[in-house]
Amino acid sequence: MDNYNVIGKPELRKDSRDKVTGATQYCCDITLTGMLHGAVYRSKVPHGKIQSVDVSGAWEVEGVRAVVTGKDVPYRIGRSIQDQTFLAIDKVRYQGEPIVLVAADTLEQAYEAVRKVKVDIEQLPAVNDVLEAVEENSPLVHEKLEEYPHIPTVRPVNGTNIYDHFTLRKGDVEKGFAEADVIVENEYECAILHHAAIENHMATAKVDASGKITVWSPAQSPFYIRGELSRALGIPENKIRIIVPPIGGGFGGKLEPRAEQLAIALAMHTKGRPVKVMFSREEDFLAGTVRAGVHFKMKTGAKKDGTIVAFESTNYWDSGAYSTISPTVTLKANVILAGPYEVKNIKTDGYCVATNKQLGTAQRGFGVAEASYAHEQQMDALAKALGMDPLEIRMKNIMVDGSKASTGETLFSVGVKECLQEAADGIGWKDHPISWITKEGKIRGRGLGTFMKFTGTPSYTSVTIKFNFDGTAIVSYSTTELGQGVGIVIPQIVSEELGIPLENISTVQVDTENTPLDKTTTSSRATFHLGNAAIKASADVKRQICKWVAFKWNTEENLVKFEKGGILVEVDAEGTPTGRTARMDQLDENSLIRNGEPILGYGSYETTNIWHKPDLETYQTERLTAMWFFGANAAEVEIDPDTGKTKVIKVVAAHDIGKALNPLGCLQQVEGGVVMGIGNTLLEEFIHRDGYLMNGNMVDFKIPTSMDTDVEIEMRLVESSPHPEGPYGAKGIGEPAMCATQSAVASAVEHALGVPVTHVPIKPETILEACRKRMEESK
Amino acid sequence: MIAKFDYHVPATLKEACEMKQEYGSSGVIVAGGSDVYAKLHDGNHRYDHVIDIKKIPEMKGIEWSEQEGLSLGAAVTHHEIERHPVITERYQVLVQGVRTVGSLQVRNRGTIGGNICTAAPSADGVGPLLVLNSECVIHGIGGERIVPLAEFFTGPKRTVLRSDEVLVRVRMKNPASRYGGAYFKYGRRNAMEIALLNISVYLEVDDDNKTCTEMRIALGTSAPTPIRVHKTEQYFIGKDLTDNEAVAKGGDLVIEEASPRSSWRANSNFRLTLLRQLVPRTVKTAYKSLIEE
Ligand SMILES: Cc1cc2nc3c(=O)[nH]c(=O)nc-3n(C[C@H](O)[C@H](O)[C@H](O)COP(=O)(O)OP(=O)(O)OC[C@H]3O[C@@H](n4cnc5c(N)ncnc54)[C@H](O)[C@@H]3O)c2cc1C
Repeated sequence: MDNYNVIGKPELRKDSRDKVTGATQYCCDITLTGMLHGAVYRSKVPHGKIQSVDVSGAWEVEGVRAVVTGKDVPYRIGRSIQDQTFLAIDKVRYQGEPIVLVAADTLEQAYEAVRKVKVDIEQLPAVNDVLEAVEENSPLVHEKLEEYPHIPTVRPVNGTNIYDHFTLRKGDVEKGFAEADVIVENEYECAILHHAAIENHMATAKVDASGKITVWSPAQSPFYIRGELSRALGIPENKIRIIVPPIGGGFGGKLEPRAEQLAIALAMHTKGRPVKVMFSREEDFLAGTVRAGVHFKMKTGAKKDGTIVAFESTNYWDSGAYSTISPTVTLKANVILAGPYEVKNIKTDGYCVATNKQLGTAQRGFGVAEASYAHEQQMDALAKALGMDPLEIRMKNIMVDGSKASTGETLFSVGVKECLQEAADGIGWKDHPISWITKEGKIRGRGLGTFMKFTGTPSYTSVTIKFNFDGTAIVSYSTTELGQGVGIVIPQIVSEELGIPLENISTVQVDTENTPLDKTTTSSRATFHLGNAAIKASADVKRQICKWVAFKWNTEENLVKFEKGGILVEVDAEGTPTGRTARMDQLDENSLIRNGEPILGYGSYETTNIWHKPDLETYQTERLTAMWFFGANAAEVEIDPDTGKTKVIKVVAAHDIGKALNPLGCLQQVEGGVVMGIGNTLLEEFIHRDGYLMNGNMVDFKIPTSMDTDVEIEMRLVESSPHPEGPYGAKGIGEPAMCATQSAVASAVEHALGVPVTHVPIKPETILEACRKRMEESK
Repeated sequence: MIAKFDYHVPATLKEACEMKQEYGSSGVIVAGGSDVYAKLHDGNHRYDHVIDIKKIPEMKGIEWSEQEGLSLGAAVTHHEIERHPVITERYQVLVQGVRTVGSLQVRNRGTIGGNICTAAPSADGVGPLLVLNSECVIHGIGGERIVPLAEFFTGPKRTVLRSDEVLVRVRMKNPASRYGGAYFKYGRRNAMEIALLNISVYLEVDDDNKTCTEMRIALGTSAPTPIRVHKTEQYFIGKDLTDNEAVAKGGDLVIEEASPRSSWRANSNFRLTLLRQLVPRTVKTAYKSLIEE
């Protein structure tokens, strides 16, 4: 098989030691000379008209250097729709919306000054429920949605709370349903979730005399934020520099500028003194970002033999007070809402809806975990209606090479069938019933979940490599390390390609002024895109080295060959080795390189040319994406009928990885993803009352603790469908790692209880009722 | 962010009581601070004076003797309790309770006195102390008084402590040489969790190893304060604890005595349903611990 030196080997992340020992310096550790501390006055109500803002009290506090209100910084941001100003000006639309900023010598003074701010707000009824929000008589979150500039692919509906109406049409659903022997129709709901990264949003900003802005922030995608800020402020991108220290977790939440614009707004008023703004945990809950809630209406039709003939859905995404990147989440979920099953006729309508709640944005999976939960519940419902085995009906419809996606495109490199089989085998599907009662009186159930997802396309990235005379290399790129392991997999690739040891390769802090242009750190794209760019950059380095060595050896450039393992070999005109060789890591010892030209290799990768723009009405296209991800999870759960509590016993996670470049990295992603998925399914939710967030703290918003991770996780990496365009055949794993956990666990609960799971998180209250019925039936 | 305050460290009980009296509502007693400082963090609560009682000798240490039983200083941490050899052997129900508090970090800071004086209906240390028939040693400017723990709480976050009084120690007699104890905490997570419900059970049986001669049951988050359910306890006396139906009936009775409230965390019906299931289950666990000893 393949004989790689570094690729395919388990390697520990390079940042792990510093992180574990506490040596890593994060954004919160930044202290600059003359730095001021910022604090934010935030709306206490979810919806209201600002009547007056009185900041005179704030100015009276000692040490206060700047007080900024909305009118001072009337700049608009918004990835899809420019609906958000830096600070609220006329209206507040969510609890926690920033209204006034203060910068002072100390943090205490800044907080004290914020306490002295007086804002008079006439409260308006809060738009609290996504289904009510789309009704005709609903109050409006944005009165004039249509007046905001927006990107052409987003279609706000005038006079409503609808930010965007996404449509997909494949085939003829009416005809399809007419052919169906059974039709199952259900509704499903997912609660709003918070990313809850260990590190809150924060930023330190400085504006110099020329007006140039420098920001230190844990920006997931610094070039994206730079673009947003540049457009908002009306200054060129080269006047904004974003430096990204190590990030304490993102999960999609750090895609949005949250603290950046606040720190800048203050720094524009402090005559060159830098300002640091750090969100408290409470602020992060209220005014960070969330994963939107969603309400799905789903209708699936199938033949008696299980063949799905039609699928239809209308779904409503609770995107909150400002649209951010939420329309893309709606889109991504709708494209795969029928699941990785070949369905001839599909119709979906996705509504991205404004409410007076926290801002729905990207979260690991971009809507796919939610969609997977809904489509897998539908599969279980169909299986039940047809009296089929849940695995059998999935297998009957599962996509393979050559299947047509919902977009009408022909798929290749599809390993989902193998994944589903692996997951089912791992959980012992054949050998056990899908539900039984244990000796101790607990109810066990097994379930299955599949998913498919695509990476954002078109996309672009570049990698540069500085090769040093001592045989070490410094690799630069601008995809940030969020825990996904980009900082090990890219060095692995460079190590493999250049034949130098992994420990000789270091990476550079991401900085828009020093590291090369990169679209974004999202969409599980790094290994694929940067990997390809890194291979090209390595080739460039090798070419330059061969040229220089040829010069030193006094021979022709084409007579120096680069061999695997980092050996340079001289050959004669016939291609026969002359016996003269050199090793990449010993070039200096042989005086081959020290005095030469700098060796700077670069490579880029972009996917514009493979992308075909989908039709906006039907979303049909020849090719939507550089890469589709597929996978399947199987789960076993145990339910305690006395307490209604669900414990996940085991999850088997099978992923169509193409080629696992770092199996240890894959395992870390899968373990983290499974635990996160379990948290999403059983614990986490935002609870609102009339737009007020009730549980915006770490005690009441329940992410799993280490004491809740007692679950057996088995990873199965499927490498039978390498991606022809991926580096060594690799695809991505960051988001996929969690995309099918929620669906598999929900499926297992549904099988255990015999009733559909119509809401996640699955709460003990609802389970208790179903349990009782189940126990009575079995008596 | 916590607003500035003056930090006082009284060396004696007298000083502490005087300070508490003097500063009134602008001051607060602090032990581990895991409740006090957490509350101050939201910015809405402010104190000008924080009175740290951890240095007062009477507040410290765990004392035990065969004659007197157990005495815990109010400033003793949960972690000190959970690793104390005598307590782990003779007062397992207390260990089971305090072991569920927050996380190891919280248990290293949080004290038993703080747990009691916070007067939260959910406190995990209180139920076990209630079924162990504990009493509170209270000190004020005028001297000392003893109040049974069962009479210590007057409402949610309210206690019998007067404006000059502090809790000094909690003490209890040794339990019977043979007894069964069990603690059950109901929460969504396995750590860092405020109990949606908790149940503490202490029981003794006759020589036949079945007939209940003593039953004490305390409930948390089931009423405005932690409570004992005396009628249900009474019901169990004389019952055969191996009789599942008889034990289950205790669940029907207990919900008559409990009055959990509905909140966004859980509604009262749900809590009552749980109580009905889980009180008998906890009684069985306690009984099992006695039999299997
Ligand atoms: C993250 C976290 C998790 C938690 N989890 C749990 C849990 O699972 N279960 C649980 O029961 N609790 C929990 N708590 C609450 C808290 O940790 C406990 O109640 C702890 O025992 C309080 O002790 P302390 O010494 O820290 O109290 P402090 O915060 O110092 O004081 C608490 C209260 O008691 C008063 N007080 C303290 N000592 C005396 C005294 N000697 N005399 C008079 N008044 C006094 C104080 O004035 C204050 O009102 C948690 C807290 C946090 C922050």
